[in-house]
Amino acid sequence: MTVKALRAIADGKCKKLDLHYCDWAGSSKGMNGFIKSLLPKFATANPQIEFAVSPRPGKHPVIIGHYINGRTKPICVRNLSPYEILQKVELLRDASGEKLRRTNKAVVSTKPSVRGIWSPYHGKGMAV
Amino acid sequence: MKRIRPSRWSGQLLQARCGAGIAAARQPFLLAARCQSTSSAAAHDSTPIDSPPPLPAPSFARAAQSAKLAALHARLSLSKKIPLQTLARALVTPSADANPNFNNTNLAYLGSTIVNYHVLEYLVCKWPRLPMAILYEALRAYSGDASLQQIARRWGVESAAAPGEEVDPGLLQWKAGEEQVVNTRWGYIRSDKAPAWRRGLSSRVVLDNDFGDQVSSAAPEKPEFDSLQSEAFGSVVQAVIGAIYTHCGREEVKAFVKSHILSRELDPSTLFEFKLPTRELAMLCAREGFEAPVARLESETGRLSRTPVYVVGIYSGKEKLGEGAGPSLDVARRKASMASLKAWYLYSPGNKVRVPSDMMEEGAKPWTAPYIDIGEII
Amino acid sequence: MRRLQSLQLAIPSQCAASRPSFAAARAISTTGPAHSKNTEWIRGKLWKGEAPGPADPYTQRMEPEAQSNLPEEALESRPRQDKTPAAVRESRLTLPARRTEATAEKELQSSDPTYVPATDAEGLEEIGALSTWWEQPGHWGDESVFKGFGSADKVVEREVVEVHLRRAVVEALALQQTGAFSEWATKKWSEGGSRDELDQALAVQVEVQDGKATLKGDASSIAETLTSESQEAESSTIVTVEEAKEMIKLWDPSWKNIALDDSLRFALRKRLYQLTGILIPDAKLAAANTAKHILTLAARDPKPLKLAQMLEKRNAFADLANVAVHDRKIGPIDKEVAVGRWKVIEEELKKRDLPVTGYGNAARNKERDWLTGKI
Repeated sequence: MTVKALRAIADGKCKKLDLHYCDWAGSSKGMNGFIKSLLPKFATANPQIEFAVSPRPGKHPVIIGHYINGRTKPICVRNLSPYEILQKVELLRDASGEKLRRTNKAVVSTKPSVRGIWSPYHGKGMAV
Repeated sequence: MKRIRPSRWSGQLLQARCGAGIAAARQPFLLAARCQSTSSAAAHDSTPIDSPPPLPAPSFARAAQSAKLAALHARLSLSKKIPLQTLARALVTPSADANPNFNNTNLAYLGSTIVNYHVLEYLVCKWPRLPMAILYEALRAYSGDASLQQIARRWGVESAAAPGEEVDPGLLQWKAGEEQVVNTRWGYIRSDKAPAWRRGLSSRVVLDNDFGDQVSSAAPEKPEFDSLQSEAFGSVVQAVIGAIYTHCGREEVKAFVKSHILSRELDPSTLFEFKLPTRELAMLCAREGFEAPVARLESETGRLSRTPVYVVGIYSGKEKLGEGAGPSLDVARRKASMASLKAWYLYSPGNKVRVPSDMMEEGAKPWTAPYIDIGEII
Repeated sequence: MRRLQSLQLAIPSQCAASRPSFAAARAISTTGPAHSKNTEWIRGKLWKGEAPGPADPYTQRMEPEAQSNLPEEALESRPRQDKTPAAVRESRLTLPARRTEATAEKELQSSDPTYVPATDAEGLEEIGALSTWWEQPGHWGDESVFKGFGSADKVVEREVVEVHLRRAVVEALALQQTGAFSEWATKKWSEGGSRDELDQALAVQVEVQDGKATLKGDASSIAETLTSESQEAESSTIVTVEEAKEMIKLWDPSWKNIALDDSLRFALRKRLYQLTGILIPDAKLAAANTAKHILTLAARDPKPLKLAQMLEKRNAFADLANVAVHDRKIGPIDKEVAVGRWKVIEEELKKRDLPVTGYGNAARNKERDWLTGKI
């Protein structure tokens, strides 16, 4: 039997970001600006993520996040400004890679309850 | 009388040399002159080879260019003292490159001893009464291949589809299917003459491997893909830990093991399996000088129904040892005995227990001996 | 191969069997003679008496009318019309010979009784197929390759263009001073590919007063080199950008204010095209009144750098080990190479004699994505 993992890696679960751009197309203008001006700083701040910058001629610019759990998240960033793209990149960096789902419980825990589960055979019982 | 034909001799010699060359090339020792690492390439100058065969794994010279490797280095928060080349070597398993000068066998063995030591001292100090069999299983749960594979996966280690020279050095180089060229299993081999019934638990402490598994000298039957895969991934974690020890020393590696391996949660109560809990409990009470255990029915419901429930408590004199609920009186009694046995075995001095390696730090407080149990019930 | 031979052998015999010759086809008619007798009465009824023309018009052929009023000598001496186009006839290229027919064996025997027909191809000249004509030596060499008037390698840098323009201006003025301009304006000037000629032209000072320019220096020798026929085809003068910048600094910038008339404008454009390969369009040329305008028209901004080149030039990611910048698209083969699967795929494709071109039109493995939970 193997143990349950107690904690995740502190640095998050995004392991790779693919940044695709086009040299010619106007929709990539913001992306090219982002790669030139903002990406060096962002990559310095996030050394745990592998960045792969590559052209994709004739296509809209795309950022693809690859996660530890094997899933990917692509975001098309056509016609976005560099700072809007930075927001998207931060979103991808902070995502866990799981599918998005609604959480309606405040706490999710793997630990058993401290108070224990109620048992009908203990205590004084109820007079019927 | 036969004529001597010297012309044939040279042919035979040539053939023999040729064959010998091929046989020698298969041995990993001669491949050591491959000049993959930082050493100079002087060895090849005398005999230029037209097209050298491709390397079985990526050259370490490419390690500095790999973004994947750099990201992994940063993700593990490794010290700058550990070069990327060492990390690249930790990702080359002996199934990809049999040459021990370029694969992670040695690092992984070093790492495995470190991991097993730290886990074992933690287990022994935290649960001093664990029986040997449970201790082995708990050790396997922390530092077995399957657990280490999970850790490697969480680190974001990916494996290459097929190892080779052109592959990104940041990928795990391993392949399944071929027989193991290098033996990576370590342990004391029992002699074949000893009969099987002599393999008791006490002998496993000395013989066999770290997890109490038998190591056979004969070639093992072909292992499963899954076990090979977990071995390959596990060797990465072990090799990284070995690399940390080599480059940064004892304290760093202890902190690393603590944060990546000991931080995982294990509930040892799930590891137990009892055959005769009532008898074992009676023997325990006799050994410890308690009064003989008595099972008492505490409450019940639906005795005449289809689903009765009995709650049985085990008492030794006036002290209650444990309690269990079951659908019949006997099952409830056994469950209660199991609960009391677990309560005995899972005694723990607390979460802040000190382990012997804490004494190696500078300025450590004086050592107070941990609780040491006299042993399990026989 | 054997099959092909048999096919070739089979074709003539088949043709002979299934397709009879033209005359034979004509001889056979759907209406036989016996059949036509039955139609005789309707012909008589139609024509009311003797019917004109043959009874079966399909079996008979018209006699060719070969009547001419010309005398026999004229008919014999009329040459066969050569319909080859004049351009092909006068071409400097070595064209494949026209098809000729050898004299028939019978005729040869009558003229040359010692003639013995050959039995094998030994000693015959080998001429390849017509499809390989231009690959054979001597048919399409360097001499046959088109050489344009303009320079083949285009100059891009503005400074170098300016140096060449200055040279053109000096040369045109030199020709004007020596009086040979009107004669040489439309002719091809000497190419002047060597560095010496460039230096010779640039050594001359140009003084511009109110648009009128005068040369100070050895104008006649420049004009002489221009009009001389030096056919040595050297590579165009290599002036580096740094050299050009140095040269421009030395000149008085007023030389660019030289006023241009039509002939000078045309000469400058022609010479600039010859030296730099830049052709100024006619529509724009008409508006250029000074040499400065011509320079504006000729010089273009260099192409903007690609993003990958710019990043490399800036060294933006040099100290970031976790960033990989690729200068070209990462295709499926690159991805497979990076994980080491490509060598396996290649080997398997070669084993099956399939072209090693990647995935071809095959789509991605969707099922694997389903199994691994990617979709």
